[in-house]
Order: sequence, then C-alpha cells, then structure tokens
Amino acid sequence: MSPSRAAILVRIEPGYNAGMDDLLAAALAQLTVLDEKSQAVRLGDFWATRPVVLAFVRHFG
Amino acid sequence: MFCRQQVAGLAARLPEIARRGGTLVVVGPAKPEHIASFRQATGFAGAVFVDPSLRTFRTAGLAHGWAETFDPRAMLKGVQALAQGFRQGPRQGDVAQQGGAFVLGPGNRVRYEWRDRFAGDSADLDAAVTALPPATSP
Repeated sequence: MSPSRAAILVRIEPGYNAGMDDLLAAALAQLTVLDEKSQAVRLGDFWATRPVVLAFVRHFG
Repeated sequence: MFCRQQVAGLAARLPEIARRGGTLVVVGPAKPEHIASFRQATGFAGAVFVDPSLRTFRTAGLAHGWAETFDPRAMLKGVQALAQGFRQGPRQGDVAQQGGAFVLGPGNRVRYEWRDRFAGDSADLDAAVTALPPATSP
C-alpha cells in the first residue's frame, strides 16, 4: 500500500477532548437567556456550584 | 410535537436529576412571551428560558437548517411520536433550529453532550442522567 493510501489510526482515550469541553462550558457560561419577564439570566450561574442538565429544545410547539 | 416528547422525557427524569444533586434547565429558540403557552401545552413546571438571538444554540454547536428539519428520519420519528400520542401545536420560535442536551458542572466541566442531527432526533436521556454525579445517601 502506498503511503498516501495507508489508513490513519487515531486512538482517542476517554477525556481526550476534556480541554475543549471545558472551553465550551466556559463559553456557554458567559451567555444569557431570557425568562418570562424578559430578564436576562446568566447561564453559567446554573452550573457554578451544582451540575445541570441543560436541554436545548427545538421550537416551542 | 418532538419538543413536547422531549420535555415529557425530561420531566419524567426530574426526580432522579434532583436525587443526584442536579437541576434541569430548558432553553428554547423562542421569545419570552412564548414561555407561558409552552408551560400550558406541556405541563412542564421546571426552569424554562428562551434565547431568541440563538447565540447559545450556536455556541453549543447545534445544527440549524431546513435539511435537518425535513430529513427522512424526522418523518419516521414524527410517525412514532404521533403513535405515542404527542401532537404538534402551533410552532413558536425558529423551526429550523435543532436541539441538544448537555450535562455540565459543577464548574465549567462537560459531563455529557448531545447534538440532534435532525428533527425528532433525541439525546439518550438515561445516559444524560447517569452522567450526573451519583446520588448521595438518602
């Protein structure tokens, strides 16, 4: 097999992407969402001290 | 319809989420005035917020597009959801926006992440709940 056609095997260990994941959580944490009274609420406050299941739903309907 | 199905699945797991010390937050791509009718339609009493700017959806890397909304797999899921008794109500918000689910924290730690590939695609909610820390002693 020519070098150009050789398979590239990458072994991904658990936690491999942890650094990127933390960046994702940090980026989301900075953003705000709105409550029923149009008050802005900082997302990161929900998981600062306890875990959260954050569900993004499709349209309301 | 898919949204109602997803919220019903989440609501059913609220006790286990609480037992594991977690909270549940739902974010929709709609406007603040849509929250009341959403609660009425779903009976969901938990935390519901909206992001009409879709900034949180984009940052989370969630899909947005008509191809995902009208994917053939979405049609099949629609038939299944109808068979389970879920009905489509008036759509409020960005219908081309797909959803997802994340388990985060405490602190900026991602324990679970899922991005819907098409309308009606859904996170494995049991896996999401299991990603929370184990329940402490009763």
